[in-house]
Amino acid sequence: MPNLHDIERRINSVASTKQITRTMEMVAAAKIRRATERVEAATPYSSSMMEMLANVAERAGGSENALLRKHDEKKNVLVVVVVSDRGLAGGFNSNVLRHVEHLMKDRQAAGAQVHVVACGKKAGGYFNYRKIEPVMEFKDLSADPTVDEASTITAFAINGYESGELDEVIVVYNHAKNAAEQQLREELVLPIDTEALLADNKEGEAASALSGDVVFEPDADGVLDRLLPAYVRTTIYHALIDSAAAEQGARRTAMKSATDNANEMVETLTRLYNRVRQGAITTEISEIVGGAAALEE
Amino acid sequence: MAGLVCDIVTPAAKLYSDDAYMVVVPGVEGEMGFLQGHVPLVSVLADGVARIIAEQGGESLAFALQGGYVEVTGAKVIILADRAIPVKEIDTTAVREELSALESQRSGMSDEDAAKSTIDADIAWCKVQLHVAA
Repeated sequence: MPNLHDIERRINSVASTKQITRTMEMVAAAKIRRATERVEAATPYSSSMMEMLANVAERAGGSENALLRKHDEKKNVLVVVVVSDRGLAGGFNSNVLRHVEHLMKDRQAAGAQVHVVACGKKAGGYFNYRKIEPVMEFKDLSADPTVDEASTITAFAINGYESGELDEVIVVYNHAKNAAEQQLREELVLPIDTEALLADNKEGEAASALSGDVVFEPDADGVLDRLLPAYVRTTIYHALIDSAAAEQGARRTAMKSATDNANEMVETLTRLYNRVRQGAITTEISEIVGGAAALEE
Repeated sequence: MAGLVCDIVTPAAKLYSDDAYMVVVPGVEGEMGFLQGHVPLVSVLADGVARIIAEQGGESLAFALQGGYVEVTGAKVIILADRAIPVKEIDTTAVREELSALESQRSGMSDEDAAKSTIDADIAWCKVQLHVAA
């Protein structure tokens, strides 16, 4: 039987952990709002961008833009890994990292070299521990991704792709499906798949305002050449802010279940505490009664 | 008569969305003005200033733009820009300070490092703001 004092100490420790997890839950819940607002603020840009690009791509068919051309041999693959700076968010980081590791193994088995861009401290730590040096590393931005960060990654990816040093660019991140649910996503950034884009646009054709004859300035190909890099950047920026929103969601869920578990534990421990105390009292009484009976005899 | 709706959006936010009488943008091949019923057009924009005139003969609202595109349909003008700021809000002294700080930082960097950052675009953006505000 554990003694009363030990149990009391455990109850106190669990209760103070609970306070921390509950606070983190509430902080995350407050941050979800800001993060989703940011995603919403970026949506008009990316949707207009996609619509525009689909329209242009349709008209500028046969464009020989380097970003559209598929490389026959895939020797160098760039993986942009988007995770968080902080842990305590359940499986948020490990899901992405595990997926990336599988992806790397697959590609390496196919004879490709994999380069990594690590966004978020957790990715940096993970890869450094495995002696994989990320080509680029971003820290302290996961909660607050900037367009500059996305631009930097984009510039690197596009330069590499155009010069033939990279044959494929993939981004892996958590998509915030809703406040409570995250979804692992792997997106092909380069080469840009215009067919998928066109298919997307066909679905929303009713909403598309650009139809019939459209004037392009300087010309359709010229517009396309300028739009494609911006599109890549939008994709990456979107992945970053989406992941930021997902991170807060994941943390809230994780902290909520931690708080619930702590509650349950306090309850069990309190029950045990009472039982042990009652047991001690009973023993004491029976000792007194026994002692008194012995004296009487 | 304001039959034109104009949006200015950047990746980070929607900066402006309201009715307009006329929108003037800096296209790569020269300035263009749009009135209601303009033929559908998509154009790349030069860095510079876009002006929105809310009412005929009225005051114009100016925005500094960098790296933009414009999409025009009969009733709507959408300006997508990498960066944008209302000209009124440009603080020239602050921008000047930022520019000199960036330039001194840039001179200490190799071209390779610069390619990995957005510093060249930052410098260009400062210059655009100063040019526009002047």
